[in-house]
Parts: sequence; structure tokens; C-alpha cells
Amino acid sequence: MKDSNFENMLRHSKFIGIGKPGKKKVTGHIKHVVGDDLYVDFGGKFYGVVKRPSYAGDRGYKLGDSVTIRLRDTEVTGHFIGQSRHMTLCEADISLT
Amino acid sequence: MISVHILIYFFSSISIVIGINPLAHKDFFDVRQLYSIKSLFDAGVHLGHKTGVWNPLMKQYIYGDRHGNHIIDLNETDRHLFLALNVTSHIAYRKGVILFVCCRPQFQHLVQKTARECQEFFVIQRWRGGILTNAHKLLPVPRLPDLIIFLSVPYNMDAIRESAQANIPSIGIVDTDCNPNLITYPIAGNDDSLSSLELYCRLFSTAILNAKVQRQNDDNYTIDKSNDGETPRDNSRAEMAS
Repeated sequence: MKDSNFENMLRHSKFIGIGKPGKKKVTGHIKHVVGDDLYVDFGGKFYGVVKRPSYAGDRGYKLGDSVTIRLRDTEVTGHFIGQSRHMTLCEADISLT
Repeated sequence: MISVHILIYFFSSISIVIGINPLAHKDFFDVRQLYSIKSLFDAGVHLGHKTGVWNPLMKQYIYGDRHGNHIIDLNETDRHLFLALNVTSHIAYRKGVILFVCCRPQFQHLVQKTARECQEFFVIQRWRGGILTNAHKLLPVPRLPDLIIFLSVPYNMDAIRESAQANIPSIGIVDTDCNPNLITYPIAGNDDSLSSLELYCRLFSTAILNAKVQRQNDDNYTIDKSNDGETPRDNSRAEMAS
């Protein structure tokens, strides 16, 4: 009963536990590789997108690899002057460590 | 009004033949067993957008915000998802045509696979305007779907408007940035993650397949009963009695 309660699950989830994303270190998996862009799934709503570092060459950062990232923000949103609503890029703001 | 009467008449005739009334049960197809709030939570259904992106019409489904991220109330989602799965099952049970619509490139393949799994229809490329409202010109067979399931609402607003105009019931996954007004059965939930989309697709396909199996069993049962040498059943009298 306690487990199936939404409020309880939310309170004890990692999403709440991590607090503000502000450059926290998290682990994720590379889900897609498009050109030099790596799409990293760290369990949030959106994937984070980073460029493959130039020193990695072609061998590093393959599909399915586990990577440690710094999570700056879970969603990139912005606001144009005169608009009432923000718009979203549908990706998280991360960088590789 | 006329169509409602026809539906009721159609339905009552079936129920008398098979001797049960699926609509009298609250959960005839056991859709409650298909998921739990925990499974929704594990798939990240509660994760909403940033607060700045929200549509105020979604306020009733939002639990609160955490450092600028909206959290969707899974108790509300649970209630609506149950209703939507129940409706889907009933329509599939009565041999309705179900259409999956998702024009978001990320999930096209998943939706196509789901629709093919449960032998229903899908639109995953661009929605051609007027395909419901101008069907007699655009479609070779003017048979409209009986239920439309929208898996990415912001990408398909024109399709939603059209289904409302054509009076076709719709189910939609609405995130915190969507407008739920024109959707008959909105389900508040995350529509951006693959994990949650996979969950919705699995639930809908299972619900449809279960209902079809149930229908098959009931049809077979009726045929067996009428062919077992007993006195033929007088359906017309039974209908009058009801």
C-alpha cells in the first residue's frame, strides 16, 4: 500500500533526491549517436545532447556506453520578448565530465 | 441522438445473445490489472515540462512543481487512463475501427509497430487535412474510425480539431504544454520520453487484443449454443422482454 502511493513514491524518488540539477554528477547511457552528437539518457524526461569530444576519436563514446555527465538543467527552455509562453528545445542541458 | 439509439439497440441485441452485458460491469475487460501507479511512475509518466512552457488548462492535472519542473498528478492520470483503456476495450469488443495517430518522427516506428500488432490502423506521416471531414472525396472507402488515439498531441492539433468536428471520440496523451479541451478522453502524462510512450503503446495494444480475444470467445460461445441441438432461441421475444 505504501509503495503504490504516488506521493510516497515521488518523495523517495531520485528526481526529488537530486534537488536542483545545478551541475550535479549523474550517470547515463548513450541512446543515439547522430554524427558527432551523443544523446544521453540519464532517466529524466529528455535526453541530454552533447558533442563527442575531439580527443575521443571514433573509438570512444559508442552506442550503449555508460557515461558520467554534469547535469545543468533537465530541459532547455527560453522566452522571446512578447511571447506569453516559453518554448522548449526538448533536450536536457548536460556536459561530459 | 439517433446514432446513440442505434448503438444501444445494437448492443442490447448482442448482450441478449451472449447473455451478459459488458457495459453493466465497471471493469469488464480487467484493464485495472494491466498497470499500476508504480508502473506509470517507473516509466516517468509524472514528469512534466518546465513551468514556463505550461498550458494553464492543464492545471487540474498538475500535482505541483519541483525546481521549475511540473509534476503530473498520477492519481488523476490513473483515473483517466483507466477510463480511456475501458473505452478502447469496449470499442474493440464491438468491432470498432481504431486509428493511432502520432506524427512525431521520434515515435513513428513504435506507433506503427503497435498498430500492426493489434491489427488496427495508423497515421504516422503528415496528417492530410480534411481526411475525416472530407472523407467521401479523399478516401476510397468512406468508413471513418470509431476511435482515434493521439500519442503526440502538440504535433497533431489539426487532426484533433478534425476528429472533434467529425464527432469521433478521441483519446490523447496530454503533457503539461498541451490543450486538453478538444479531446474526449485526455490522459495527463509525459509524452516526450520513449519509456512512457512504450508503456502507453503496450497498454493500448494489450487492451485492444484482450477485447478482441474476448469477442472471439463470446462469438464462438454463441455459435456453439445455437448448434447444440437444443430448441432454437427466440431472439425477437427476448429483445421485447428487455
